[in-house]
Amino acid sequence: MGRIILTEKIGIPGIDEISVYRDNGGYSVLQKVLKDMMPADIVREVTKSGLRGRGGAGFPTGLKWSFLDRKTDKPRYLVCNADESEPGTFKDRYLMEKLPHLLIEGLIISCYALGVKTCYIYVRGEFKSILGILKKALEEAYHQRFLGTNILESGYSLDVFLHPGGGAYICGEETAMLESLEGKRGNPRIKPPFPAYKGLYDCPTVVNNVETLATVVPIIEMGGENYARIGKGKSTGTKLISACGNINKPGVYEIEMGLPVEDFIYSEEYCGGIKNGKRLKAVVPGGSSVPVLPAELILRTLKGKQRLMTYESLSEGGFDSGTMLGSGGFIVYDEDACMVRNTWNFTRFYRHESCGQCSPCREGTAWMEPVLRRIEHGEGKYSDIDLLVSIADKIEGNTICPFGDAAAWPVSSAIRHFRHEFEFHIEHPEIVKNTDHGSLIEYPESSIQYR
Amino acid sequence: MKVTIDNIAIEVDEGTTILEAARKIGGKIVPPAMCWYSKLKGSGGKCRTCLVRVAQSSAFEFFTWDG
Repeated sequence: MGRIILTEKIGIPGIDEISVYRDNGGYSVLQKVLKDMMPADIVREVTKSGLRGRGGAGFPTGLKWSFLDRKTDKPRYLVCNADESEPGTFKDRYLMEKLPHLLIEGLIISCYALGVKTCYIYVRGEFKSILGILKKALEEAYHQRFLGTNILESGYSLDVFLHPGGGAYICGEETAMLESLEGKRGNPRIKPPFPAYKGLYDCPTVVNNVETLATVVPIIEMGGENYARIGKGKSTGTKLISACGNINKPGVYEIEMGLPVEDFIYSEEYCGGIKNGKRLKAVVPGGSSVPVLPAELILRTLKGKQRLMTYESLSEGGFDSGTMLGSGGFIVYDEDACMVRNTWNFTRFYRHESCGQCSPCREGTAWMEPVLRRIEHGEGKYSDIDLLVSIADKIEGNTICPFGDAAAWPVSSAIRHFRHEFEFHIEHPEIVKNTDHGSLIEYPESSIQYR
Repeated sequence: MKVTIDNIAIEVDEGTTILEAARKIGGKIVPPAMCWYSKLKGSGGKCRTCLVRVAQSSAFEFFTWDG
């Protein structure tokens, strides 16, 4: 049984009400912070905790905060990235649905630590229901004087604004999100300058994921050093993993970092094994953007070591035999799943969502999709496989934002590990045309709209 | 400030892009570029044809297009 830190209170009925949340110890950390702690102390605790950004990149949060330009007299902003649109990831949605006040408490503490007076929550456009939940939670927090001017007589003031997005995946990228908040088209900016120097309205800005900000609360509660003891190595603490696909118990699980992947998939406590007693074929451990790994490589690394749910262990072996933890969208495929169809499905999504700013990504995704479509429908040629590898290679690393990499990795990794399936499609056009050769993966509800 | 492109050193103003610096030197080292027009605000860096490898850069005083 792993330790549950973040979602400890999630089972309490009515926890989204501020009164119930306060009865269960909510906002006590905030009161302690405003009374006894200096902003610099909070940043120090977070740095000590080794917390890494939960949005996907895994960048140390304390370091990110320390980059914030403190010399200017311009206002500083904190933007909460609630634009979770990665196919396969639904952990933030779960957190905001069940524990909106934990996010708001973490938000206020983080804003206090960074000296921020205005904060934005950028909510994904499709999350209409969550917008209502957060709105109600914010109103309650304003009413109880946790937000607004002179919070709890401490002299610190903070305003939080909700900003619904228009439903574009690219606005989850931090600079595209800032552009979108400014009212412009959501095109990622060229970095440098980084948001910590010139972000929202050209002012120093920090962008953090929902889970990252919520985790600040338990970190301050238990102290950074104690938090760093949980987990394994540089991957400290716990992480929310949204498991979906061909498993018995799909859902959001909080795991302690360092849990073996095998245990996560097969133990009754988490995924509960593969559906209908089938065999495991492949796993995408971090949302659609990270490389897919076949069963033998996800359970053990190439060197025979057991693979653990940490940032380091999952990326061991580079992109040849490793992958990434990413945002924690754990997608499991059983033996019936067709990897070509799956890759095509992902690429269709990326083609649709590419912002069209840089040529490699705009043209590349629009090329990969028809090529994959014709392979899937039994109309491919052998040269198509090499063509796909070549396109993916030319997108990767040549774009302004990581979207290009995210579009290229699923394709190049699927070909690297499942080349035989692509070849089967080309060799047996009649079979793939006339039979349902691979069952589609089950999507969580939040992603259904993309199908 | 001083920058070195392909072992050729040149003195440029702050805020100069790599492309501008390379064009100042001229010759074979100038990367190809398509989408940049000096009079158009916000142009440049989009078509990615001018992509170059930067060995050493202090990112905040030197505005680069490509890393």
